[in-house]
Amino acid sequence: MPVPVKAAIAGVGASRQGKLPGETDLSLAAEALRAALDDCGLAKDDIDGLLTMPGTTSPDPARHYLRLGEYLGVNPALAGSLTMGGATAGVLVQQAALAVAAGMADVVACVFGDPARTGGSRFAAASGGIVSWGNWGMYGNAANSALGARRHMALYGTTSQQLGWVAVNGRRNAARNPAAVMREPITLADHQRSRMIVDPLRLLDCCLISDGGVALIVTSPQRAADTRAGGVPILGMGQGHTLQTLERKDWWYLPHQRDCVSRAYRMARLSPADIDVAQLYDNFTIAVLFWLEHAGFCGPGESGPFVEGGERIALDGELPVNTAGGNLSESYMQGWLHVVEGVRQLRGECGERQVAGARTCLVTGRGMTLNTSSCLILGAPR
Amino acid sequence: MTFQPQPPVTDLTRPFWAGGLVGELRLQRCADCGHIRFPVSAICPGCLSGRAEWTVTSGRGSVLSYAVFERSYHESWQDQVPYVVALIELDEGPVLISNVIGVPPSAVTVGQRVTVTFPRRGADAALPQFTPETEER
Repeated sequence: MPVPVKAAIAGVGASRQGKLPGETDLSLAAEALRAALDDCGLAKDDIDGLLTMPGTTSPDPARHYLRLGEYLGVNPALAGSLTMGGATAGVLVQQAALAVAAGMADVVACVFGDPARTGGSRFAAASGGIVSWGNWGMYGNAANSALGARRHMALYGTTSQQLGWVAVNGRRNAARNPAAVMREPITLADHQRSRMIVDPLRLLDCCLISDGGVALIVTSPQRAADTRAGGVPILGMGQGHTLQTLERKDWWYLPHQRDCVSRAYRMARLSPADIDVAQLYDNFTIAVLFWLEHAGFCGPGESGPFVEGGERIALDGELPVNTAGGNLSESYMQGWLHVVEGVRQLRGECGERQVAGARTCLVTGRGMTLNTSSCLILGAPR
Repeated sequence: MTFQPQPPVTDLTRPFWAGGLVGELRLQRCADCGHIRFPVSAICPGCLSGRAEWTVTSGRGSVLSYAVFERSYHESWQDQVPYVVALIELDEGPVLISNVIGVPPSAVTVGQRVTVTFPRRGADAALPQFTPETEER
């Protein structure tokens, strides 16, 4: 029996990506929103919900919806801003779907813009609270993931080369994506030669830092049916959060991600074997390994061998992963482009990188000090 | 350069920071449920009680995981590169973020036994760091 669908993604849009000096969080969000409206054929005045993610450069993150709403000239029935790092895109789509299903809004625009590359982002900050982790030199985002990678290596024998296959896969797919920022192919040897950033993570284990914006238009399945591409149904939604960090000994393994994906599977009445393509949040290569385990594509500790050689996760493999290049090679839009690519794959619009016959896509996001996670399971237009 | 915590020592955090001046790694123990917690907090994340006492831990534990910083993101760490940031699981249960010092990064391993030391000191604070345990004598 098909799962009842309460909401669909009718439009997706992205701004130019990469190095865009002079742009702001607002201008990039607007550029993306125009693209998303063009994509589905809806007009700005159709928007009655505005959900936003303040970028790393936003001067007043909690009031980002207010600044962006004024900039765009939108006076909606529903508004808000949310900061959950790489989980935010998925969570905002979920909030939009809930609002649509509850009848609080008809057309919700989820919007993000951030000149993180040229606008002075805050990625190198220390974690911690009353006692800052900076006291021990714990700065930046790579180190959190490096702790997880190191323990995974120690427990399961995972290697830097295996991480390298994730980077090679992302770049291989980005080469087939005209909009990707990094398209020059890389080899495993390039990965192994790249300099160490926070051991065991090398430069080519790290995502890009990019300027850009992304917008997603969520509406009812009925309304989406009348839009240009028909609407991609949201089959499953899940979240999971380990909001404690040091208080949880298993924080490094991100146990909330398993709960998050499990909840989405349950709602969609699907299992890992039903997923045709996956867009897995990849701030660092190790993240893809964790997701493969947490989403049930392999067992705990088995993700290293799963990605080795890069065949299983390739476009023609058993589980094509990050088909547009991901955060590592397409552009670092904190997971927003993962949703865009999921939608495009299901519409069959991906040209050279199209996964033949893709009918289901798993999209994941995760953020902050690895604390938050979100999952969407999307289906093909009906 | 003398050590100054960031953010600075407060009434709440003073026992943690000052413990090291007398060689003690002090953590809060909930007066109601007995949970020993880190990070320092006004309430217990187990039972939400605001009553706590400071307890002196053994300062011994093991390396849960670690990362080696090959570059510095902050001027106060520039002369330390490469340095090891580690998750240390104390024998009493709490997990700390800290450093393993006194050995080259290549000598650090997951599961390694470590003990606390306080080499970086200021007037009202000392930084708990860890060094591999020496053989029992």
